[in-house]
Amino acid sequence: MYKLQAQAVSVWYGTHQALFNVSLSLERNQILALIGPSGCGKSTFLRLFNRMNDFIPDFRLAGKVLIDGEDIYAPGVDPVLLRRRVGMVFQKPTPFPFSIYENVAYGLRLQNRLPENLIRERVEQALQQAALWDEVKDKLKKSALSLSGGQQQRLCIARALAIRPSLILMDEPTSALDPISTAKIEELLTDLKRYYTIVIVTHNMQQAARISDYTAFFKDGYLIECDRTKDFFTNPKHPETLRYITGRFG
Amino acid sequence: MRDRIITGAFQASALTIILTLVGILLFLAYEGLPALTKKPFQDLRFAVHPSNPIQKLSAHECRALFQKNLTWPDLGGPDAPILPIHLSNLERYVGNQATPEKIRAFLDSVAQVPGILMALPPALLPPSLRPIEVEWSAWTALFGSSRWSPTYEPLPEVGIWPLLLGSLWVTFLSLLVTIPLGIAMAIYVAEFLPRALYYPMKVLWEVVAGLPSVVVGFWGLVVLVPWLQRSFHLTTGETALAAALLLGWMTIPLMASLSEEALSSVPRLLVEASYGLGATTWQTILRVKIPAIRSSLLTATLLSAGRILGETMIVLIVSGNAPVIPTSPLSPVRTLPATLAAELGEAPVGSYHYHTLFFLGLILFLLTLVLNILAYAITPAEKTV
Amino acid sequence: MPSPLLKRPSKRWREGALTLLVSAISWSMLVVLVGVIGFLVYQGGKVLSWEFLTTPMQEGMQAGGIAPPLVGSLWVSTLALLIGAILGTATGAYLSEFSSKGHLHHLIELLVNTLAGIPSIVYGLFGMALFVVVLGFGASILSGALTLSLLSLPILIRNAQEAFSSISTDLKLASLGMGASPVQTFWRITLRLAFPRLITGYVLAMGRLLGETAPILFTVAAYYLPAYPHSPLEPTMMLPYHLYALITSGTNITQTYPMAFGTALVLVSITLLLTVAAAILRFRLKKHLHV
Repeated sequence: MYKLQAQAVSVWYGTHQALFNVSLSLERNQILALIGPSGCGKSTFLRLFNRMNDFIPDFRLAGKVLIDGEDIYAPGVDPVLLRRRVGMVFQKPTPFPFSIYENVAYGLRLQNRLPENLIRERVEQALQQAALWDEVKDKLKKSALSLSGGQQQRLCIARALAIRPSLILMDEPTSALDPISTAKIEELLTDLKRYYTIVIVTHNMQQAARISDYTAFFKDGYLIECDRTKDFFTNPKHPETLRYITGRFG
Repeated sequence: MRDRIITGAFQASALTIILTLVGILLFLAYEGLPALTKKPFQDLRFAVHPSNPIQKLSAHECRALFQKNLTWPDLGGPDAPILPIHLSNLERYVGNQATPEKIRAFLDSVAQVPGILMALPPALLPPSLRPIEVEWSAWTALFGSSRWSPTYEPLPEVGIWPLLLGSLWVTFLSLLVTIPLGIAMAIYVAEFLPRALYYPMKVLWEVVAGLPSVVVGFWGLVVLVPWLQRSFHLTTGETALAAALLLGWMTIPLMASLSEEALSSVPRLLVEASYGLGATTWQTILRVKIPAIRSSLLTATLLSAGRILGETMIVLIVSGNAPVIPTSPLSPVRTLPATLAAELGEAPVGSYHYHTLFFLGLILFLLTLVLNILAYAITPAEKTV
Repeated sequence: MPSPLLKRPSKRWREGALTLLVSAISWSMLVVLVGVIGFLVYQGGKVLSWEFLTTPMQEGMQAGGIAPPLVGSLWVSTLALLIGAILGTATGAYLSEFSSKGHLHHLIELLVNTLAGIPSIVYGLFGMALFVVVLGFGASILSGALTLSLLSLPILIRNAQEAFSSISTDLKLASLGMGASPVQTFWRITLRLAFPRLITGYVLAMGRLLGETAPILFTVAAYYLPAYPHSPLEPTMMLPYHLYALITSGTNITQTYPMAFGTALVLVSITLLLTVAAAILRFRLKKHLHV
């Protein structure tokens, strides 16, 4: 069974159509990169999977979106519970102005009372998975705002990991960071693939080429091409794809 | 889910706003509109001697008879002196220990007098007297009279013009203080004040605006009123001017902060264009910036006027409380809110006076409503000082 | 001939004079304020003492203290603030976080602005008609507090709405993205982070409420009741009304002036304290956020 699937998905905001009949599937423990020019709909597509588009007024969907075979837009589905199974990392690091510990524990406290020692375990685990533990283990009570940009983003990743989602969505997670932090996070993602399925929006094609297993190219709301990354970059099938890739590389 | 209950509770609180406004309007109308439909002497009957040919009197004529400003012959009545009898002067004749028998005896004896004019509850009216009709037009009483004497029995005078004009006069005078000084302060703060003092200055404004008006009124009574009395050689310093000076001063922060906000948001391009052409600071202020914020200044003025119009305590304390049409800044004056404050406690619930006061409240409410709506129609600016 | 590039001396003179004028006007406000408050301190200080604050009035308000009105004012204003804070914050939350920003939202905002401009005496009229007469609470702490709470609603609603809106949307989205419901996000992030700003608004509102006279005239204030209230259905003396009574009624007005000065001083001191406290809180907040 596929981890996630989009079947003939079209999206409207009021009268403006943002996605046109998009279909794609992804298996478990793979990384899918979504690339394309600004406004092509890749962020909209990403946010279908945790129903964050619900907050935008006049949002309308046609088609099906499935996670683990379940239609997540079926009536009766609670988006709040969905978002606890799907983690999200945004472009700008958004640590809460609390301590580092409380940031990571935030998602854990939302659910039923977990005993404090269990929370502490999970916080440590999450920070380790995010490759941040060694840097913060002595200052967990310090404000999260005292961390550097790259560290804050890794904190946000840890925060998302703490609730043990099975799917992680990332919207240009490294575009606001310096090259060194970016490299650290890319390393991290390749590791995380062992436990999680990841969809990442990026405008950096080298990044897509480096870390992803599959790449999907969006343009003007259409999915132009989706293929194994290696094939995608060496032998694109659609002329638009070729034009985009070479245009950006050149 | 519990979430939905909480969201519902928040939405319900928002509904209290609707309820409040609707409630205010409803109560004011419910208690105030009877002033237009009821008569103040609903429970009384007027009667004259059977030999008196008069069948009908207007309220004005009747009152003039009671006050002896007119005589019977003036209206076609008998050539006899007027003997007005009503509840408030009955005591003067029979004393305050009179028994019902004594009262009845007195009334029967007085009913023989040809010039008698009685206004009493029907139960007390001697049957030998002939009832007459007294016409009461609410519109004439309220809007056609220039006297406000709502407690005069049995025919109160409820002309609202002295109060309305008093309010408008005080507001006008106050604005003469508020507008120029407010704009001057706004200019100073926006252009010349050192940035470090910006916040302290705003705090100063907030402090002044937050002063309890009863305290400011008290200070005015003790300091300003005697000073006015001495300087202008008046019998009393309690005048419209005293109220206007105090009110105007207290409203300056509102005017100033709204104007300052507007000044600071004049587009830079405009300002730079002016300086680029060689204009001085003040030329830019007076010829470019102020004209640019014209509508905001109008809004600020309207909001200030609304605030001043509704102010009660300062006026109550220092403006002399004379419900007459004002003729100069040095006349004593009475405003709408001051009337409400001064008289509502004395008016029995459900009496004509009570209804008239709520009618005044309705007018005040509508006046401030119109001012505020105009203000927000011009510029949707929101600020509270 | 002087170069046309140089400003003519007469213009420069006018510039300086105008600047001086607006400067003088602006600082005159401070001078007048100091004058007013200084005068009250001077005259009121003569009667101010611990007894003045803690004992009731004697000799028909010519001597003694102002404890009953002080206590009464604190009771009524605190209750009013409590009611207003709950309703106002909830409505502010609705407007900022939970409304669908449709017609109802705009209607409520319009009504809030409208209510903000209604004179306090009209609220007093309404309060009297509704709470005192129709609902039968009579002139009481409850009637007064309910009336004052309605008066304070527009300010508190705006304050809450602005406080909640000022919390960055990124943080709210991050919380929602982690599976927090909108209410959980409101409670744990928005409300928690907006709390200092809310408190500032409450302090400011309290200062205003304590000084209001018109709404309490017919809903709670007693002319002479030198006792402390036992239940919310009793009337009580109130500080602003007491001052008013001292200076306008009574048989011997000048005799009561010393007490009036003391009362005025106490009233203005409390208001001043709260206003400045709110201002300081807001200043600290601004600095804190810039870090």
